[in-house]
Amino acid sequence: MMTDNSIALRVAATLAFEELGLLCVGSAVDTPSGLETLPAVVSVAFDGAHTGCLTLRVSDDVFRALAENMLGLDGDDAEPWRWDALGEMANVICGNALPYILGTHACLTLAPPARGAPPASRSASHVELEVEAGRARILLELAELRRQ
Amino acid sequence: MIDRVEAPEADRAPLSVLVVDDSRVMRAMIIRTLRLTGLPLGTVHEAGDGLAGLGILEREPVTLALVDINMPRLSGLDMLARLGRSATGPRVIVVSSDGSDARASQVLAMGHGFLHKPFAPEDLRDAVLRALDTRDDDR
Repeated sequence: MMTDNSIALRVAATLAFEELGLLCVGSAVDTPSGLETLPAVVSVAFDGAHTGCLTLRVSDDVFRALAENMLGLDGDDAEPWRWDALGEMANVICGNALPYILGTHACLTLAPPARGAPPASRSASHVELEVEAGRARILLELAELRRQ
Repeated sequence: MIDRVEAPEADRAPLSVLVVDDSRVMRAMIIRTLRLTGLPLGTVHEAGDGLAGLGILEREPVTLALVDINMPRLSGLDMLARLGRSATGPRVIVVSSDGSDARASQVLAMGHGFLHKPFAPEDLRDAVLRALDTRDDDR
């Protein structure tokens, strides 16, 4: 069963993949893919009233399709742009999911997207989605509420 | 859709635009979308952070600035605080993935437009037209 946080991640990811990446998103999948099938990974750390990190892993076809759809870029020259496109996708998912999860009055600062993922914690929320013929997995780690 | 661009928009003077975003993909997407809207674009400048954006604004006449919030070196909000707001300065639209009401209210209270990512081409065009109309009203 999906948790509220997973539903928020799904809503935000669907919005980002469909409107920004121009990719159709299917249903959430119950059986997670092996990490080797999701080789492109970026993460966005955030800080403020809450701290945490969102990690986005996608299959190679999704990785390639993002830059092609967003900018019309393909071929070997597109490789650096692919990482930028994936990073922007993670940024938009994070920015859209957090207000659902933390409330719309929480001001947070998002760090620039970085390649790779931090070590996963057991308390992370996640969702994996069908994206066209590929997959995308979004994982959110949320630290304790900071004292104001 | 964006094919309903009307003549008055095309009659505007060419816009000198500054796009400030640490994501070059987003900068390219914004510029590409602006070109699709039918708005008359003149010179388009790009900056990867607020500090570089301020540098361009010191040197170049800019009609319209589209500014991200979360950027290295100098954030979009800090950049705008340093820039201030004047009738002769550029109209500013903050373009951010931050979906919180608090952030949007903060930007609107500074007198700038706010556009949430992801956005459709017509959303960008409408935000630009609103910003330019605000400029006209100020005069």
